[in-house]
Amino acid sequence: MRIETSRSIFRAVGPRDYDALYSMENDLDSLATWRYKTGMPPPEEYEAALWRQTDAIWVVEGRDTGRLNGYLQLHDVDLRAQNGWFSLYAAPESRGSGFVMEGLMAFCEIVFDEWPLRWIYAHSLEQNVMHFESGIRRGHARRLGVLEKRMIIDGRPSDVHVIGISRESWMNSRLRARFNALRAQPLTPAPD
Amino acid sequence: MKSFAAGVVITGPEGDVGIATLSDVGGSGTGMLDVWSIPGEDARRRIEEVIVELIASAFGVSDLRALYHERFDRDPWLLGATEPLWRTEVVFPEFASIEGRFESRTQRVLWRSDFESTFHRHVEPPA
Repeated sequence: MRIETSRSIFRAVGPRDYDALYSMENDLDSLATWRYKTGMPPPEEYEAALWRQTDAIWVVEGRDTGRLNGYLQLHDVDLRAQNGWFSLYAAPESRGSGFVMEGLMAFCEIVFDEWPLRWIYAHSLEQNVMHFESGIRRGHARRLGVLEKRMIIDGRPSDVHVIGISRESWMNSRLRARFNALRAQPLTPAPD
Repeated sequence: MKSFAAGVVITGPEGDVGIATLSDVGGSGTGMLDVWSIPGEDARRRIEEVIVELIASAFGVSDLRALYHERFDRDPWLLGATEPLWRTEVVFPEFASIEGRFESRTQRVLWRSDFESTFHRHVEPPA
């Protein structure tokens, strides 16, 4: 499935995207996360590392620029338990722009429409959790707990918030209705 | 995918009664403690009798700040005298279907400092 909004194209990742994803993850702020315990892999090993424990990846592409503003990853899916985990990354120049949180709406729409999952979860570092706060206040997401001082980042302990989004809350949310209503409006053609 | 740092079999006069493992030990100075018993009150009691030693060993084999431990709703905790020290941090509601019923998964943490001060034992990390 491909989802388009007035400013983004949300589509499945392809090999041509790997260079952009590598740059995104190689950014100093992203490197502080725990994704690669032994450091960023060299480019020739990146594809294997990117897909480890991963079930699907979608990129958030700017309609006007064709540039990748971020990507979202579905990983550690347990089909028996009907849950999975997600991660989201924003390109340094797109942080705070809302592109990736818009991508999260498209992600929820695809994941809950096409995958038999009841819950998706994410770990969010203390410095990133503000991006979820609005969704938590409105009931679209839940903070399931906080792992206090779970990570050591730049030598200092940092809390890790565990965020959950349930199929039920997404499917019945006004946010979803509004998102899909906006999608239904006519779009100007995306550049080739 | 789990990476195991240590594991023990717990044995009583009646034979093996359970196992304990330490896994997911990483650079953040935390690890996951799992403790399992065979069915039966005697086996559970035997494990609860040695839990302080098990935890001291877990802190001793690696320079950990904290241990995590998790259970589904109907699992016994087996934490014995250490039970009050474990703080609940995360609850995943209806996390998985077990024998036809969705059960929540609860994750708790035990800080090394709380363990050492309560049981008056300093656990020397490995050199």
